[in-house]
Amino acid sequence: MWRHFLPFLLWWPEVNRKTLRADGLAGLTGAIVVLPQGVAFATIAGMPPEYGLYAAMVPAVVAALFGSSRLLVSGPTTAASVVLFSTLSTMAAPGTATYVYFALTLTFMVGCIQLAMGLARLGHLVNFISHSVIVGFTAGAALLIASSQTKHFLGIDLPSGLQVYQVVTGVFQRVSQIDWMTVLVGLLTLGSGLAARRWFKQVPYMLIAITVGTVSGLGFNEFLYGNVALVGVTPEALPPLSMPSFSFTTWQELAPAALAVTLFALTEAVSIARSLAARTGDLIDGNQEFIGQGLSNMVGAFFSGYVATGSFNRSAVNYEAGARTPLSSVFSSVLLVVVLLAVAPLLSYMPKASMAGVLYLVAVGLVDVQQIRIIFRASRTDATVLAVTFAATLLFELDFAIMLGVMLSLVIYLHQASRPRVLVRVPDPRQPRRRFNTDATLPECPQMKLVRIDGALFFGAVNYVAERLRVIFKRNPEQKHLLILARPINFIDVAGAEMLARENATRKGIGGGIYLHQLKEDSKALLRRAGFYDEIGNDNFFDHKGEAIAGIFDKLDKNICARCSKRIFNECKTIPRMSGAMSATLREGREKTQPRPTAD
Amino acid sequence: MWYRFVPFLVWWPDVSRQSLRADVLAALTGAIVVLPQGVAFATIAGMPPQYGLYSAMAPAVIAALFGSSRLMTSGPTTPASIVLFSSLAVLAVPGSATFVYFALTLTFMVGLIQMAMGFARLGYLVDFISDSVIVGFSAGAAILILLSQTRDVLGIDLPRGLNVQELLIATYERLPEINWMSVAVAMVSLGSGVFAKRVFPSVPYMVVAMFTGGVLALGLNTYLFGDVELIQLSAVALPPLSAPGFSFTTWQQLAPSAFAVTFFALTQTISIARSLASRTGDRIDTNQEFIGQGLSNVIGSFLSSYVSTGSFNRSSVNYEAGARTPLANVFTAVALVALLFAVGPLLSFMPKAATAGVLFLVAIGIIDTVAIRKIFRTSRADSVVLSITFLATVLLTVDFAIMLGVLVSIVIFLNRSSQPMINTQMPDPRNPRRRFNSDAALPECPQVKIVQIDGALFFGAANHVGEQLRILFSHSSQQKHLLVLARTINLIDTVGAEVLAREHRRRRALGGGIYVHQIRDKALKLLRSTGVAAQIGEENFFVSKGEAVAGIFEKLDRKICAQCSRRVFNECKILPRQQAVRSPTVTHVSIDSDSESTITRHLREPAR
Repeated sequence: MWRHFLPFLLWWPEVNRKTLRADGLAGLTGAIVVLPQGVAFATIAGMPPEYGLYAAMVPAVVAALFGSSRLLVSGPTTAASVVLFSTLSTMAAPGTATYVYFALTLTFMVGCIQLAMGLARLGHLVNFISHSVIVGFTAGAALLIASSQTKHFLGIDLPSGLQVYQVVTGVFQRVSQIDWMTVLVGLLTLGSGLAARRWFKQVPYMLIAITVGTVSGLGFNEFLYGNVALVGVTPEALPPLSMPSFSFTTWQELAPAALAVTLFALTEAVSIARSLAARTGDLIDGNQEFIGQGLSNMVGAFFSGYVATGSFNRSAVNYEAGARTPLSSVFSSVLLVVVLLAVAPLLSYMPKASMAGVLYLVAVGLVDVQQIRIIFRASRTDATVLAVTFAATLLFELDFAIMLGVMLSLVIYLHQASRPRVLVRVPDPRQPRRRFNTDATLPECPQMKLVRIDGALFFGAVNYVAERLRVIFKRNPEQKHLLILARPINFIDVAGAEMLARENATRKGIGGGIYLHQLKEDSKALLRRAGFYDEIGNDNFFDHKGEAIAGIFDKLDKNICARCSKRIFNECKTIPRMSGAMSATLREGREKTQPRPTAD
Repeated sequence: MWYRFVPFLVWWPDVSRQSLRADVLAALTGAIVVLPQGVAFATIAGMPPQYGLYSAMAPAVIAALFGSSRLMTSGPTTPASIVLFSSLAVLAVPGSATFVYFALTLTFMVGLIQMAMGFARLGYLVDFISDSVIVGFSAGAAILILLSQTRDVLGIDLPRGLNVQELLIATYERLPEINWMSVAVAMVSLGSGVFAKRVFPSVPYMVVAMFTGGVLALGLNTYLFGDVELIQLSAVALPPLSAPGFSFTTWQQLAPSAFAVTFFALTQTISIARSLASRTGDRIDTNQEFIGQGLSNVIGSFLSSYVSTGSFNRSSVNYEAGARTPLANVFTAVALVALLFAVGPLLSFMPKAATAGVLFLVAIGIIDTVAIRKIFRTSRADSVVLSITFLATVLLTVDFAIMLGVLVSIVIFLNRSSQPMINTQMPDPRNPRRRFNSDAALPECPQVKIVQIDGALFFGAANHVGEQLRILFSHSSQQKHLLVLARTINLIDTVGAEVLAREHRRRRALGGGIYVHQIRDKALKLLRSTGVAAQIGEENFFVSKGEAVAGIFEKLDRKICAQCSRRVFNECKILPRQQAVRSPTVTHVSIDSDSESTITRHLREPAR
């Protein structure tokens, strides 16, 4: 248990001069990278820009110390920021004190929920957010970010919190207001960012883009009498103390948003932690990660930090800069304070348009074109989920969009799981070992049906499977014996057990029965507890195909067998052939050619 | 499509003089059975008693003609009544005109939803209501019925629409007001009902119980100046016309209840229809059944009927009385009208306490102790679902209880399928075909891990499986090659495909890889279209075990093989054995790859 509260004791012994040096260097890189990002993401979140930097200080340290990932860097991120913005902008005007107050309260609530989920070991819940939902949501979020920055990019006046189509129509109505100098600053930022990303990979492209944008904006304003709007941020180097609200009504109001943000923040953090661990070979304890993230947000809310989650690109930078222990995140925060002391005054000269240009780059990066293409090519259901989530992101609030995507993907999965294939199988004489096959042209035993059920027999699937079995039975009532190849039945619940018992009773009533091949031990145990195991009969459970067929063969009506011309099992050969139409001589001739009986 | 609208054309040709005779006889029995039931269930629903009888008329006829089941009898039933009561009691005083108005409106809405679902072919949704939910709900409903009838048994005056705690407290406070004559009537009708059920199973026990209770009450009231309360039944033989409300606000208010009632009405109906069909060998078209039920409620709401669903006991009576076609239900409704003309006036002598006694019997009957015991013995997950549904039914609202039960059972299923078992398999030398087995005592190849994944590789399970595979690899990183026995993987989606790809990349980097045995065609198609199959390599997909083992065997590190003492595969036998003593000779144990594969092929041949 102590491990939950002091997880850093696990890696503490590994800290030495070498790791300290490596972590220090990685921390410095991290501080430089997070500086522009913090400002950018806070802008997305509708927070005053300095809050993005604060969010990269205390929460990052706490998350690093109390999480389970060694290299995950937490702090402000696009996804959490855009969700925060879309849920809060309906309640308060972005950038105002009330808005900040709500955001900090939301952060505290998110932290509480995360911590509770971690302690309750609900870590695997995030697994139900399907990848298609995330890809669709991120693409939608990219569009939202781009549309929310359009007014800054064009230097026009638009109310915030508009839908995408409202922004488009708004821009068309205000074409005449466009400030071309602002646009030029934005374009310069965009261009320099793109160039930096392509040709100077070692330097954070955001830094270059913002520097170019700031210098050009400054130039236009000073020498060309332009009025390119500035961000006007005056961050203090140390995060000011803050206080989330504890009023019940506020909490009630924010609860749905808090749940949505939590869900998304955790998915992001855990999936990044996992993908990092996959590279380094570490193990991730999902629940510990929840606890670390939760604590970071709870503490962060008192140090002006808004929702922090794992950041993919900063974590990657951290890893590539050679970080060894979570101390690199701690150093990064400390160095951020130092850097801020030096450059803070410069930040106030940053033009809004240049910020918008940087965010356009971020937005484009969010659209995972490759994944989208793969999903659309590979699976129609996944593509549907993606498309619906994307559309919902644009049409509704983001939290609802995520929920909708998750629900839809679950419904689709349930739909598939509730209709397991019921395949008719026959021994294939063309295959080695007479392997079973699904081929309607092959002969079937007239007295026994072989089926394979491809899926769990749970309550949702029971009626479907029962109906399929009924149809099969109705078509061939002569096939009284039913051998179920049960290997793909991964589990059975009470409803499934009852269905098997019912099928057994129906077939027993007419002198047949059901037989199960390779049923899982768990399922057998359940049948036993329900009392159905004995009903079906211990002799009717088999582990090997040969045994199963031999066992059922004994129960077949030999009168029918004698007249049967199909003879599909090895055992059939032991029975003398007698056909109503065939003459005795012919029968004799056939018998001679029949080879020895095989006891397979 | 035509038969959606005129499904009776399907069985119409089967009608003959014989079947008509059988149906008429069955109808007479049915009418006698439904008479007390209608009154009793209307009481549960908080409706004036005659509405129970009306509900057994028009809706029963329509449902029979437009549904898909031949023998199912529809009309008023306990579960629908209790759901209706519990969702409307908060909106209006039971028994009042407003309550009736709400009930008729709700019925109309339920009918519309049912029809819409039928046309949208959503019939299979009811499959997701598991038996455990139904059993738990029924037990809870029984408790609710018992509680709701205490007032009539004890003859005390209690406000309607109380929750369980309030009801118990109020009853306790009014204990001194108990009308002992009421109690006596209730006990007598209860006793005679139990007696009749046991001794004369052929006579409808409800008729007996009500009759004795009625006679006793009449006697007490007439000769002993008792004041046993009678039901106010203004029995009109034919259902009067009525109109459901169409105001938007009313609809909005009733919408959640309407969905809950629909949900439950359909589940009940379908499960009854299915169980009847399994006896008679008929086929049930769920969607047609939805349409029939929906139509019956839509029309019923204009003919003074409240929510009608399939009735289990009346359907069984119908079946056992020899009914042949849905015409039996049409005749039942006609016979009921005739019967009401004859005995209608007598019904107003029926004491409330007698009805309550009968309802006690009904309540006890719907607690399925056999099923409850079986579920508790069999499965913890199902027990949890049952208990939660039961508690929620008693303590919270009925409609919420059903939803909750369904949600919990789905969550448990999802949780379960998100953690598929991954077990290591080894060829078993004791088996003639060296079949794979998960016996941990068997030796493993030091370079190949063989695993079977027991479940779908969908997004919910992807992380769990990925993590498990990674742990397996970190525990035994010498086993660079991973053979996945995929015959138990029933589904793979893009996320699951990515898990395989990631595991492959990890192993490929160290000189190993993933091999897949007996993957389903559909899954393979997905792996191909995501490009994962190309990453893993088409040659690494195998259909037979022998080929898979042979294929991987060629990639093994012969140096390790030479020192290996396990030799788990047939192919291992061709390698020269060398003891674990490290010697430089190890390096020149190399085999010409061509000759080797001929040897392995040769070795595999006789096994076929």
